[in-house]
Amino acid sequence: MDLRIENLSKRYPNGTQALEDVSLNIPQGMFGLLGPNGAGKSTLMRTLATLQEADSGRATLGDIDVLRHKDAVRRVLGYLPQEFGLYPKVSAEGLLAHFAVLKGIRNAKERREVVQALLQQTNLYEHRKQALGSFSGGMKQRFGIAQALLGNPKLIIVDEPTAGLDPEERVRFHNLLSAIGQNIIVILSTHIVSDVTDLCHAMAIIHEGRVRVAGNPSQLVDRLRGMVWRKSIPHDEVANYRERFQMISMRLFAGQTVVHVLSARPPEAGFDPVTPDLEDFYFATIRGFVEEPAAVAVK
Amino acid sequence: MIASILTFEFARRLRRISTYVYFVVFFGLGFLFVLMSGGAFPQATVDFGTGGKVLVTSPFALNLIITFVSFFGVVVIAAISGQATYQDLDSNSTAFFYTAPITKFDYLSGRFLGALAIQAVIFASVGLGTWTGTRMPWLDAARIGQQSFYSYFQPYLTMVIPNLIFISAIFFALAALGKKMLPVYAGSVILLIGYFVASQLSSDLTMSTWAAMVDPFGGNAITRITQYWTPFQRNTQIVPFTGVLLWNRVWWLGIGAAILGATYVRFSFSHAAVGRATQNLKSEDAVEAIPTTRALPLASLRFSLGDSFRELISLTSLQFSETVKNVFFAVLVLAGALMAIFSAYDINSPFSTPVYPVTWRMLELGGAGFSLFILAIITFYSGELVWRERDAQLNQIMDAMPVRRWVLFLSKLFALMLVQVLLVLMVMVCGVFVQVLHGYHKFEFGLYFTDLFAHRLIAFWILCVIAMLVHTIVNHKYLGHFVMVLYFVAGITVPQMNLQDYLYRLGEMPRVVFSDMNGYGPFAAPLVWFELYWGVGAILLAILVNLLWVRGMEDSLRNRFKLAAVRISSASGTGFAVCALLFVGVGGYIYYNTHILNRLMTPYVFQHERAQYEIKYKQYQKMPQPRITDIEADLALYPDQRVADFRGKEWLENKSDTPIDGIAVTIWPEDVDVIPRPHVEIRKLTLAGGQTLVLEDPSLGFFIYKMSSPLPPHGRIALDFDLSYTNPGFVNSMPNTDIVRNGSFVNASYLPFIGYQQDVQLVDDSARHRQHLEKSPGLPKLDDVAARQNNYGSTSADWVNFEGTISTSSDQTAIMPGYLQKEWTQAGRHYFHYKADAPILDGGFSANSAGYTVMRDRWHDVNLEIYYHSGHEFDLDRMVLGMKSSLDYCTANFSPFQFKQLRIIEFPRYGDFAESFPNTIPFSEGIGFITYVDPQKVDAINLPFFVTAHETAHQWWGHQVMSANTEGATAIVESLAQYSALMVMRHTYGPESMKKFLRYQLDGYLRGRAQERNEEKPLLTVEPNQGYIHYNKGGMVMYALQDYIGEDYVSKALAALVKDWGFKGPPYPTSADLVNYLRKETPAEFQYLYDDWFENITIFDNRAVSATYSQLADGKYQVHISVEAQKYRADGKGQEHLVPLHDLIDIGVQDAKGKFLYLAKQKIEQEHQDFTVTVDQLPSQAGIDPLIKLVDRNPDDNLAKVEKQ
Repeated sequence: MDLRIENLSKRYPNGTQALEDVSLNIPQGMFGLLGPNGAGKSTLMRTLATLQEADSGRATLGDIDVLRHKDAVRRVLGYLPQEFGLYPKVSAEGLLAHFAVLKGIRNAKERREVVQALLQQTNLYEHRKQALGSFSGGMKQRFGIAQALLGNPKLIIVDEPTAGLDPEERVRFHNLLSAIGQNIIVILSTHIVSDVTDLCHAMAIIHEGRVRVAGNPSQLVDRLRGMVWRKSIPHDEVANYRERFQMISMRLFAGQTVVHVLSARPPEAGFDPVTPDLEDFYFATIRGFVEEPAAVAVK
Repeated sequence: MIASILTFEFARRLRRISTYVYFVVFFGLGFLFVLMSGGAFPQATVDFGTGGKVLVTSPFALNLIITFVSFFGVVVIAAISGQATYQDLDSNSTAFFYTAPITKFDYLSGRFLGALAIQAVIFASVGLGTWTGTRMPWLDAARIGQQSFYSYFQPYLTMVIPNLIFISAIFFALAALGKKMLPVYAGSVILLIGYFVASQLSSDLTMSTWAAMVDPFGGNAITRITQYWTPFQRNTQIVPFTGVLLWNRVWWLGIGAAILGATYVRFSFSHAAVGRATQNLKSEDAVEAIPTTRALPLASLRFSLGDSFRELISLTSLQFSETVKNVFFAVLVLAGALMAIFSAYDINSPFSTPVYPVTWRMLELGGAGFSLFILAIITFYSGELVWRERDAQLNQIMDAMPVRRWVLFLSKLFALMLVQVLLVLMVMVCGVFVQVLHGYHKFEFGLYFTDLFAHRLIAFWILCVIAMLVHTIVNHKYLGHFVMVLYFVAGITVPQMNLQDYLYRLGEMPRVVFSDMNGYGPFAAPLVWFELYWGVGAILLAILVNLLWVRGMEDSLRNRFKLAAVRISSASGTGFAVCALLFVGVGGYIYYNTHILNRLMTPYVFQHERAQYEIKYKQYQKMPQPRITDIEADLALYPDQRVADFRGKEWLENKSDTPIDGIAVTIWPEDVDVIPRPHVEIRKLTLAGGQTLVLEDPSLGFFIYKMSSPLPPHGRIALDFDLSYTNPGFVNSMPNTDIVRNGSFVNASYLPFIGYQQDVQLVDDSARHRQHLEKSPGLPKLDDVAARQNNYGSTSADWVNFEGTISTSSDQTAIMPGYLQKEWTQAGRHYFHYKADAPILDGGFSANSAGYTVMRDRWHDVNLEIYYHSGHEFDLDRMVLGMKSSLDYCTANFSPFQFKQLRIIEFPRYGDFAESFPNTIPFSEGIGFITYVDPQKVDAINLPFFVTAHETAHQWWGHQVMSANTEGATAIVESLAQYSALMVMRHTYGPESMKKFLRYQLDGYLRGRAQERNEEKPLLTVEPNQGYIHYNKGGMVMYALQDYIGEDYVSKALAALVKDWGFKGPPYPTSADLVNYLRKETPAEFQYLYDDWFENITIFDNRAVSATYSQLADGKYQVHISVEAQKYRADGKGQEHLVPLHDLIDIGVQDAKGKFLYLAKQKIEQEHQDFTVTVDQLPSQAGIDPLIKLVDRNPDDNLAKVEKQ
């Protein structure tokens, strides 16, 4: 079962074009949706999660028309929004059981089993009696994924789940996601490139409401092989370099400014070739250095 | 720093749309209230305290309007002041403010002042709206006078701004310290209690000062100061910022300051935001193993419709328990219960006579006390429920769950409806609790359940749907609350605009009056139909809410309307269509009943009809008419059908000396009373010997017949009539209550009248002005000799012979004036034949029918009977004592009793009065039968006794001596009945029982003249509708008179009046005759009393300045008393001027127990005067007119404590 998105567009009343002719084909497995803040990722996520309307376009999940038959989508959906709260006075177990009812798990015994299993899987079992108000950020996020996993979902949408987590929590969260994302569609929206690198076999980069590229991360990165160069330069030269080269990124490294530029040939003396990574590809894409015909996105 | 925080807060509010919404709404309210009070809508017949002669631009009216409108702003104040600190918590930005280099003081005071400043701007709109309103061309020019800027400014100074500061302080503190918004709402409700408690207390006279202090909004203080102000004073004087008002303001501002101080002390400026603690747990997290990837157990999922219903049940119970398991809910319910118990316990009725806690009273009073809280709970908790997930930021997760939308919505609605079940049960618990407290054990649980579940609960449920609709549409919590308050305001104001049709008054239902005698009676049918109508309407609205329900991020109303088109399913479409059909069907049936079978009556319509009668037919007032001499009536009452057939014959005699060829008949028309009369079908109206109808106006009930041959002087002719009165279907509100299932009471207005009836004319000058009529002419002047040919009771007849048969259903007893001649049953109906053995006055016809129990007693050879509703035995002994004492007093002092029988007949509480007919006194269950008189209290006001004594005395005043139909007519019939009853009370219960009662008489008079809408008349020329003069002042003046000249002399004068005028007329005596009889018995030194008390309006302001004593050598005490006295004469509008004093006024000295050590009349000739008297025992209090025999504007300062010199 694939999720096919065709020509989805959405404009907000204030004139922002949040989505513009977005087409994607999302297969089973982890799918990374990468883009800067405000790129339209959340709009796309919420539209797929039945919380928002599109102006035009289509989306189908297997046989289900996502935009029309929302109840059908919701029955196979697990959704972890970017920001959410929990009833502070309710216990983790209690709220998860409540969600389980809403997700259609009517049988009390089954429900107990599922809730316990999920709490164990998300390492919240010891805290199951604890009020949600006392949960740390990571625990809250894991609780979020636990509720998204309720009811055997076929499609899981997690929107910026690692924002605000410390590195350790992030690792733990990634493990959890990759464990579940094998037989179903998991869409992970993020602006953190390494999330995608670590987890996804397929991805798309979305920027200013449009899909810029889509494909397998390593294949995409391969396209830049031999074209990324690195140089340490004085800080006051940055503007100069940006003007003269297709500068992908700059970062500070041990007090030095290191720039990456995109170039088919060695740009000038002092540049060393580097093996491109997804981050290079991502920045090159959103800077508009990588041309990708839209048709490529849809198979 | 404070200034910049203040500016920041102010500017932040200025950028919010809600600020402008509030401004516009309050501007609009001020504007609207002025238009309504200023006569811009001629159909709006009720004014906001500004009616009659009080101008809409008067300082009094402006103060009232501005203060009243601002009062509704409590919700706005709560939102703004609470948000002043809560916004930082809500937006998670406390860290920025708490760590900024500002002091706690700067932060708190800046925010508070900023909130206050924006509120001052918002509330200024009320004055602006009011001012704009007064300049609109649609206002009635007669309601506009000179106005000054200060009249607008002053209410802000004394009322609005201090209230703002105080109320803001409370909400600011609640939000700053509680760090939650819900306490802010709870606080606003508790503040409202203060308001209602104070208004309740102020209905008991003696508590007034206290009530004025308790009222946090100061309204009672204003009332306390202005309660006796005459229209002239209201139009010209600014409410002075002194006395109880000043102290009230100082007191509440002080409390406000204390609250702010406490807030400063307790407010914690640290980041540990309560309730949002994200405390990190033990670091064992760090060593967690990578989760196993074992597959989750596969659960079976079910999404059938049945599952949705089960889901609905579990979600509803969750929402319900989340709502009720909340400390603020408990606070609200507890406060409501206390309020209900308080309202039901301190049972007020006229004169503050306690009443037994019968169940309908528990429901009416307790229900009213609680309903305020129920409204608040519906308003607030509908908002909380609608916003619960969004407030917890759980909405995205919830909305993406595979739950049907109607399950989400209905679970909230049902939870709110379940809360109502809990609340109405609380009303019952409170009622039973009060009954137990009173030791009253006759619990009518059936009535509790009917009233609470079939009436109140339905209304609250409908309101729940409306509240959910408002919150769904408005989609802004505080604005939603505000819209709900506007809805409640509309509920108060819309009926005032003469828009009374419940077909379009969303969710409202007609008022119901329950009577022990007649149950819900004629009120049941309209209530049930409107419940059905709005119940179906509520289902329609609920379907709409379900379609517009906010799910997902598309929450703008426009998007949701678009979505609704997609969401609409065949089920909801069918449901909507079916309900819409049903709604229209039920509405149509109601329309058929309220508009076609019956006419929709509004005060304006009936005033208009009355005016038409006057405009068209007053020309026939002087047309010579024969007079009724005999009435033979044959009444058939059908209580179950609410039908009454009046057949019979009126014998007419030409008492003039010219032949009469035209006879005018008035059949009291249907549409000239506030309470609709039944439909009348004139089956027969014929004069013996033939007639020609020359004028026929059935809608106004006026007919003129031309006789085939003129009626010569002393000629007699019979008028045969057959009138059928029916009550088809049901009415919008206020059904006819004269002919009912159990407790019918019809009077002479159901019989044909001869000639034009002046009683149909409008009396209120404002109403007359709206109908383009001249000022009320009132009754004919005293010097109108011709007018003395008519008596005050009827212009159609003098003394008439009465005989009649009345039939009713077999289980009822029917009573008419006269003695029962025969009683029989025929064809399942109960017949009674009555005959008066001597002529009675024409107005003296009445008929009652109900299932009665009879109590019998005897007074000499007179049969005493009380026909009462079984279960209403509480006051029978007091009534019998009242009859006997009054008969004793009146026979001993005036003349013999003319009947062999005297009957009291109970009728339902649709009217709160008793009325005297020949040997027959219909007495409402609303003012007697269930009162409780504490035998321990010497000054307990014994209302059933007093009313019985008064009505019994009417057998003399009104049925022996009848006054002429001239001004001052009621000075004989009413003032003398009131005087007789006062004397009966004094002789039965002793002089000590009188003080409190007389104080109420004075209060009634002073309040009555303050609210006079036309013109205050002296007692001598009192108009029939001026009860405060002929009852209150008349009784007081006559009582004072017997104190001044002696009871025996008053009795002598009145006995002479009866002797000369009893059973006589025409001509009939006038109030001038009464005064002449009294003057004859009055020594020269007291002749001035008649000038002061009868012929002019005289008001005193007597005051004890100081009193001291010194002990004399012989052990006696010498008391020096310093008093002040002022005497005013007032004109009809209440403009008063000082007149010189030459008066004899009591000077008195009391001991600590209140016993008089000295009491004598002293000549007072100066404003300040000192007296020295010697008494035997230690004096405690001394002063001038201590028993308040005179009409004293400030009766509470007549005594001063006697200090040792």
